Amino acid sequence: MIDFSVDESGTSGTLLLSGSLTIQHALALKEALVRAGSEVKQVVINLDQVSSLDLTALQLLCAAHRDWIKAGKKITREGNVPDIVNRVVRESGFVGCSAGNDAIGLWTGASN
Amino acid sequence: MAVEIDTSAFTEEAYELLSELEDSLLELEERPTDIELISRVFRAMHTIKGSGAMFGFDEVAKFTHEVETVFDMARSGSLPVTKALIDLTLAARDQIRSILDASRGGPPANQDNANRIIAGLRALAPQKGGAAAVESKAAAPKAETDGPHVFRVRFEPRPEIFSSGTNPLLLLNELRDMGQCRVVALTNALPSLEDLDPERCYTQWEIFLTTTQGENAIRDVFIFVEDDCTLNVRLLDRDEAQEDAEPKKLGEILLERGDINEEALGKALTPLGDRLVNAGVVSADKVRAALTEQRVVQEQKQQQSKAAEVDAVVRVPSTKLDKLVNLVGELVTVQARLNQISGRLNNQHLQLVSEEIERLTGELRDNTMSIRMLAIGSTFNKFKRLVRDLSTELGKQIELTTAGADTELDKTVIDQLNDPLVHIIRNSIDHGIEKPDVRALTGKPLVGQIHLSAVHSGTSVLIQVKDDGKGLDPQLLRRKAVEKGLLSPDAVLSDPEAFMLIFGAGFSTAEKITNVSGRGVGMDVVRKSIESLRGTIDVQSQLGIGTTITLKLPLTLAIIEGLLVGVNHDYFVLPLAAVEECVELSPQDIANSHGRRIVNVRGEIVPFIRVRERFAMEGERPVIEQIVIANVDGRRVGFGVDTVVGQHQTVIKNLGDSFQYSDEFSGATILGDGTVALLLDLARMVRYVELQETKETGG
Amino acid sequence: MAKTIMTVDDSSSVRQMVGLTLKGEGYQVVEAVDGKDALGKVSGAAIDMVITDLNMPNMDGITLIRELRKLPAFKFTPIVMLTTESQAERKQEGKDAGATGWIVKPFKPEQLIGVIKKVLG
Repeated sequence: MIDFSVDESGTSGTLLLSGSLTIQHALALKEALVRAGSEVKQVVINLDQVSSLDLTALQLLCAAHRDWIKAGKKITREGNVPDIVNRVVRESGFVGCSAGNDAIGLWTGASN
Repeated sequence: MAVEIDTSAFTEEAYELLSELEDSLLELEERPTDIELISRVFRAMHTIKGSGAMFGFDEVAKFTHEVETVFDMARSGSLPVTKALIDLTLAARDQIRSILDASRGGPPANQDNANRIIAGLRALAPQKGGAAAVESKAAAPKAETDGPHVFRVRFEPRPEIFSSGTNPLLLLNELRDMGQCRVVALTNALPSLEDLDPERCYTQWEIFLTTTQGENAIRDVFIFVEDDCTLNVRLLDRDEAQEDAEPKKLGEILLERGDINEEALGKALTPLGDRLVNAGVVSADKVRAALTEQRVVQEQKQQQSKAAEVDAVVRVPSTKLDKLVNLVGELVTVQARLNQISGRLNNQHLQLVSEEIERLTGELRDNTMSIRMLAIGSTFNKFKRLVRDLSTELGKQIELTTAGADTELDKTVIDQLNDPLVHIIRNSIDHGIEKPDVRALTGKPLVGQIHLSAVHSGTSVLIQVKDDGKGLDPQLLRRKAVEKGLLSPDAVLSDPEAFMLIFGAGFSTAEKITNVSGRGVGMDVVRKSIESLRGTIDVQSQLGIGTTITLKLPLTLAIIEGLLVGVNHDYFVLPLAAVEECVELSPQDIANSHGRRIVNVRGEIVPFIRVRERFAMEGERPVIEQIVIANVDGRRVGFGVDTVVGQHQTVIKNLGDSFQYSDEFSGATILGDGTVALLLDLARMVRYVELQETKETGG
Repeated sequence: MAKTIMTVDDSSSVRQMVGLTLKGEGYQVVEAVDGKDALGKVSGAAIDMVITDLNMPNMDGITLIRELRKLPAFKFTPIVMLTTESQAERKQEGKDAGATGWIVKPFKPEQLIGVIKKVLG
């Protein structure tokens, strides 16, 4: 499931990603990321309940992460990065993708 | 893989197909140009051949193959359907039938007859030099006998690759099964989010594979996507070993790979990687890939030289080694100071020397640490027996698999890791993996799996024990904890927090105490041992699916990455691995929390401990305090300090005996200017504060 | 949680052999006897992978692959075709139609499992 909600102040939004982030859901994920990027200054990402993800999700998250850093957005994470996510990040060689600026601890590929 | 297959399914089907074949052949005699009929004949024979081979009817398969080969020419139009062809094919059909009859106890089939039919069919076929089938190239990859080699595989899939149902990540995993593998994704073709078509592949990979298998085996992995990607496989170590003794420099690799040109390289200076990236000459990914190449080749060289120097071992008393580690530690400290000064003076010459010393010190440090490193494999091996014996005792079927046995760890860590791992594995066998009959009911494979793995991750080693057992039930854990008075009934715990309860003192969820585990002492010991190694424990579990316990341990006990903070004029170090973020605490925040020590981090309430209060330090609190949020046993806890100085490579000195009662410090370190900073043991601090609070509130 | 694989073959013995192998590995199996039957059975069923023969009456494997790729649910689903050595040219035809890969008949259970791991994970 992909859900994006903005808090009352309108400055911060939470992107709740759960279940399977695979190619079947890639279009929806992109839409949510685009919305998050255009509507708020601060994005909180929650990956806690992600059960599977594939290359399409990594590509989208990587592109969004880059865009947002460039645009000076504040990105944080709530909840854990599940093992499966770390594993896919590691196995796909995305580890260290945004080294040095990994505010959400997603690109370390390690258990937190 | 032993699948019991009932061969009668095949014979029955084959008889059916044979009678269909007879009908079709007779019809074909009347309408010899009917393509649909020819196809039907071909299909029947094709199926008989294919199924025959699968069900072990080799004679049927071999004979039918010969007939099919000739008939295929008829199908493609290169051989006319004549009466002679039909006669021979009908004879062949009868022959197949008698082979089948023979397999069911009938008289043996006449081999001369078979040969005659085949000879006759071959005579019909236009000659084109033996119709023998070409062996599939996927057949057994040629193993090279002269030890492992490093290959660089550049895999560039077409953007449309997903639409063939291909998942490129699975191919990477397949390579990983062939040996030691490092994967670097090249993401520079990734457009901005707006322009990104989520169903296209923009990623390319460089994979460095150390394997005993040959290039063909690597290419075979990509056999389905040959036309959907550009694949470049290069053997790295062999030519290097002959050309020059030194591993390639980063610049050389980038040059050779065509990622930059000579002129651009000449302009750039050390540290090369950063400058090249900053100068926009090459992308960060390319540098990352080149660096990986450098490292993999170097490692392979070390492996080879290790093998060559088995007899050149020097025994050194460990005290000398400790002394060396201490000296290197001090050198690291002094070097940090030098770095600071050269940064301030902004003198280019000094900076160059300082950078060089930084590099040498780093290498010296790594080298010294590596002397104390041992592979964890021998520890892993001990558990095979443990699993075998315990599972037999409990009437369970369990298979232990391991990965990363060659992962190296500080000797001290390995020695102290044995007991905790025994406890965790015992626990998996006893509480995790179900009995075969229970597993059968839930549709799981009867044999349970415990996977033990070790992998390097930055400056840590992750040791994982993963089982596919029944998983942890957070509800049950909560209830037990409340029953045993370890948890107040109104406590709210997240699932990961509930999982951590199994490591609490006096906690055991076993319905019945067995002699394997369940005395409720083991897991508590695990936590204590891991903490004393400055490690952390993470538990992930899914009910009915299994449990994964991950131990994150520092590579070495002598040096850690720390976060340096200040209170008054004193300094403390927090292990950086535990630190999640830093927030500010204003007087307004304090007023809002009505005297409770809590901080609101984006809506989340995080309790904090003031270091100043904890250690009864003098001095006024600054107006704005800094709260360092750390992950302690899976919970977020803040630590209030005056200032956050920054990251600090901490050489740990043991505290003397006079400090033996202050176990809230796990050591001390000396800063560049000679000041001493104490290393905080966060988990202990939290526990003591909680204990104190329970006493206070409980009267 | 078990993944579902559809096997399409006009030979009941091949279907049985493939089915037994897959079930032994913990997969759910849906069987179809030819392309037409397969198309009729895909709607509503969550299918994670398709293994199809090429030579079949009613609708052959290549046509089936082409038809499946038109369905949104099968746009990215792994589809593996069963071929023989004498059909090398059909491999390309199948790939062009959208097949993920192929298995050359005759094959052993472990080869089949190897290919499934390769395309389905």
